[in-house]
Amino acid sequence: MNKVVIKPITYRILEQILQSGKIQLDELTVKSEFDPNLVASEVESLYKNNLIDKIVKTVIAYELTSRGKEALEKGLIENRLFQLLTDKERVSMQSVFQEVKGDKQEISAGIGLLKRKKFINIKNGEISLNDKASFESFVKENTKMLAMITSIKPPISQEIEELIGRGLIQTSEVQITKIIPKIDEIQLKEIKVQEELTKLTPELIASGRWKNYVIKPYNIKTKPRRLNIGKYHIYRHFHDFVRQNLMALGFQEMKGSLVEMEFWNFDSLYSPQDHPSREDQDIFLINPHDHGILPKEEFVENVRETHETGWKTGSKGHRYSWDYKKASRFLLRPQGTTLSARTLRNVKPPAKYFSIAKCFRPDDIDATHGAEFYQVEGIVCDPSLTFRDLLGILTIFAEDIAGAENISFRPDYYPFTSPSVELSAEHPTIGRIEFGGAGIFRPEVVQPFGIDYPVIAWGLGIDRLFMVKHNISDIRELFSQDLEWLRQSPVSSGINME
Amino acid sequence: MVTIDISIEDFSELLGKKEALTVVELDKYLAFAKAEVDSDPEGPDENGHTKISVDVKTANRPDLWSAEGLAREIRGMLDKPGLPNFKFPSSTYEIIVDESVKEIRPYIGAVIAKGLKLDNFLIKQFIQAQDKLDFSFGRKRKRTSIGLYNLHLISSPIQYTTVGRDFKFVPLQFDKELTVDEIFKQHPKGIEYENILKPFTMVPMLIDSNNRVLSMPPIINSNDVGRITESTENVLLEVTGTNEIAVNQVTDLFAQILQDRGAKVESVLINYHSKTIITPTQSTLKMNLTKKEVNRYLGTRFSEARLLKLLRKRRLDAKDHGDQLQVELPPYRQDVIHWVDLSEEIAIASDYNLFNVRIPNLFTQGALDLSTEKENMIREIMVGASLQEILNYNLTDLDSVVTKMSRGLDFKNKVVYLKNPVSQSYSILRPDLLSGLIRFTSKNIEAPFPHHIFETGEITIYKNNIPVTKTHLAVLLAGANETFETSHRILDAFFNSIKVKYKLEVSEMSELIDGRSATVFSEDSTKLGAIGEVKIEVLENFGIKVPVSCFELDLTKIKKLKLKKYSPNNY
Repeated sequence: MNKVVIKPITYRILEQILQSGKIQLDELTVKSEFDPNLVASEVESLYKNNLIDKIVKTVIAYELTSRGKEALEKGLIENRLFQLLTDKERVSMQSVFQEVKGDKQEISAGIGLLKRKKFINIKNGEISLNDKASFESFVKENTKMLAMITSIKPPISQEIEELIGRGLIQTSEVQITKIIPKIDEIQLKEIKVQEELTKLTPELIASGRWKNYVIKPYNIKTKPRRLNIGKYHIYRHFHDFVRQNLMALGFQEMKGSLVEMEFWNFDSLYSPQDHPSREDQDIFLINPHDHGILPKEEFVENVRETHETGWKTGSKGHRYSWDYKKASRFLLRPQGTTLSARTLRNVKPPAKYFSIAKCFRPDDIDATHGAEFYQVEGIVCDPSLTFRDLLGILTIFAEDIAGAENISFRPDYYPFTSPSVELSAEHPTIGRIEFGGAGIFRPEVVQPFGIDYPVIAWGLGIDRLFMVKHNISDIRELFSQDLEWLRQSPVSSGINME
Repeated sequence: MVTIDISIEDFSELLGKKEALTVVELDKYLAFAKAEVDSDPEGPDENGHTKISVDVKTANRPDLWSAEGLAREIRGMLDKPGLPNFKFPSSTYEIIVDESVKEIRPYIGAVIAKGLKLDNFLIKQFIQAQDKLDFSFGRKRKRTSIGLYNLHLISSPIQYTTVGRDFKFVPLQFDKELTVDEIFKQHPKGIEYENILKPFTMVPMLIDSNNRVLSMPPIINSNDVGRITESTENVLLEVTGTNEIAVNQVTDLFAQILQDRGAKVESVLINYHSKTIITPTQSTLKMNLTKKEVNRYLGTRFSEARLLKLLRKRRLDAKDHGDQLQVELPPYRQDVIHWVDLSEEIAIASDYNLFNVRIPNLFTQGALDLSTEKENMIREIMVGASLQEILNYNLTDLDSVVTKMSRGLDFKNKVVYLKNPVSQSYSILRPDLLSGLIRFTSKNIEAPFPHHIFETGEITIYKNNIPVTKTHLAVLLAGANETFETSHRILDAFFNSIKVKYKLEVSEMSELIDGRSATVFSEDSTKLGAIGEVKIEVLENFGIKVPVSCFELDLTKIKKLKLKKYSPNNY
């Protein structure tokens, strides 16, 4: 046993064995506070080094069955019967089953047992107490026995056999390892302990000195400090996926100014200048410089004439005198369609466009309305298009962008399209939700830009889509000011998160 | 969009149904009239009316802004196709229009309804229809407004004339005579609508041949002739306004409402001196439709007979002229201004959900806007630097952008203000991103530091009096160990990643600490932005108790990125 060199952890366990004199393996595990597998392997290595002896014995262990555990929690059947009989003296068999809660078979078995032991009498279908004192001590003993099973191993007795028979206790064979040290305190001090390394350094690795040490094990179950990773904002990331999907469908992105001229938001979209939606309560106007300069191009005159007389579009027109100044007033973009209107200047069919546009409306701010919101919208331009294609495009969007099923169409109204359609889908819990609208641009909208074929305009409520998908009920959460929520929000891999 | 309240039982009756509709059935029918259920049902009340709100989406179809109008439209799809009756017998009543109203409120239309069985519910329905028409279609009574009178108290002819401001009568809800000027000061409706007549010394007045005042259009009725009660059986309805087509349109559609309620409707002679007309309008509107064109537009192959049937389902009618259909519309359908409107009627009549949808087969190349691509690249760099992306509102308040940031006039002068903000917190367009990030951190002082956050996004400022929208990048590091160097490392990594050279020059900045801040320049000395540690005063203003280091760049100034800036005047 001379010149034994052991690891620090092995030494610590050996120390603990010597302190106890004799010790069982499971007790040692508890005392050492190490992982059971680690203690077992260290004990094995001590045994191989002839520093300890071990004796392995097989014993019978007792434990409560699930029924036993329940009986301990809710009271044994004999306990419950005892309570009932001391309260009432006589009880009919029928009411026993009603008043003593539990399995009927179990209650019958309990009554049988008590009768065999002559604790109770049964006469004319009624139960009464016979030997109250013995009954009471029987109840107490059995309850004590069950309670003890959970802590220490009881001696074998007739009572425990009876409880085993009743299926409240079960037995199994277990191995007990008893450890006896083969050295004393003085010999312990002669054992050489290998040096332990807490931190690896480049120097130790480079020099090869690491070989002189053992590496101290960590408690790998300790939870690490949280790492806040770099992350995209969850809602902007959703926008990214929508962009990708639209791009995959052949759509080209449009971008533009947050401040627009009424011309592009209203006049070019054939909204008459005295229309209520052009009043202050529906749009945001700006200060101090509140008007822009209309482009000096033919289409402005075409738009004017279309409003006044219908021009050559085949329309009756709105029949009023169109005002240049009004058309040049600045406003915050209230709808994404403004970008589509601007795009009409240089469309070459076939063409598909989209934008995810920040829009502004002076709504009172609450859970479902914000002063600002996003719209994803765009146009599809080709001489071959018809109303049926419009419905087809919406069907594709429902599947590819919204992941919606059971869609339906309803007639809708936009000043700049005819026909106009609303798109909705059946949500399993919320019911029918509208999430898009579309239509064919009116001739009064496209012809001033020299377009004489159908242009399909469409829009989807992207805020709504995201809120439904993420079960968000308050629109303000899209612009969450809660850093912890953002840090802990899951990273998604596409439009459909779940 | 117009929201009206209807009674489910009454509406079901108007639809000719023996039993009340369920909410689901109601919503299904309303789709044909571009309307939908907007509330849970309430009731029934003691008179057996279950109230429910309905959103009518058509801003251009005032004839649908009432239960009667919706039901009339829907019945075309059910059991009453074709034009509604609009040929009414003439009454003995006449309205003489005085020249003096020409400059103020030149047009009037009127209709008479006899044998009405009014109850409280029906009166409320009429008032609702009147209010919606006055407010929205009538542009708050400026363009058109409606008056209802007890016919029994009126003797013909009625003068539509003007009076001076000392003219007196007893207005509705009052028990004594008031002058016109007193009405503008004392009567709630006078106060509300004074602005319409403000420019004029004379005001319009409707007076009958016994000198009884009907009303002062468009402000207030008189308290006797102008009061409708449950015992009123015969009524006169008039519409005044500044637009002849609109005035007649409202008269025509209200005549239909009265007819739908079982009244015997009669017309009224309007004598303009220069001409005499009869209202409501007795003729249809007409429009031609080419079979080929409409089929081409809808992608359908409807025959003339089928088109005719579909048009009739929409309460229209048509004459077949071979390839052309001459469509007839009720006089109130002024919204139909192009044959594409008729194509929509045909599509609705054949039910959108029964159309054979077609997926267009167009080859086009998808692409992101170049600026999105560049912005995405920059976002990737920032996420790679372990920063959390933030999304702030574009609308903000001057206080957190200027005052709390201890910025001065030079900054304030660039700010784009809202003329009509709904709240002070959202009253300007953000001119920078940094103040938003500082405010974000101030709202998250409970969240463990350090905060490493960034945002890329649009800011808007005036440049040469034009509101220009540009894309910025801002980075903010807040925590015990944050210094000029920690954000400088990110700035440096950013420029290295996009292979752009930059330089820093010491400069004084209102919100950054002197000596620990710098202006960021490009190689050719274009000013790109600023970097530095935030002044303690600023941190105190925001209630932040840890050091903050940050930078902000105008990405449109980094030439290599080719990011566009947008001016509403030219892009």
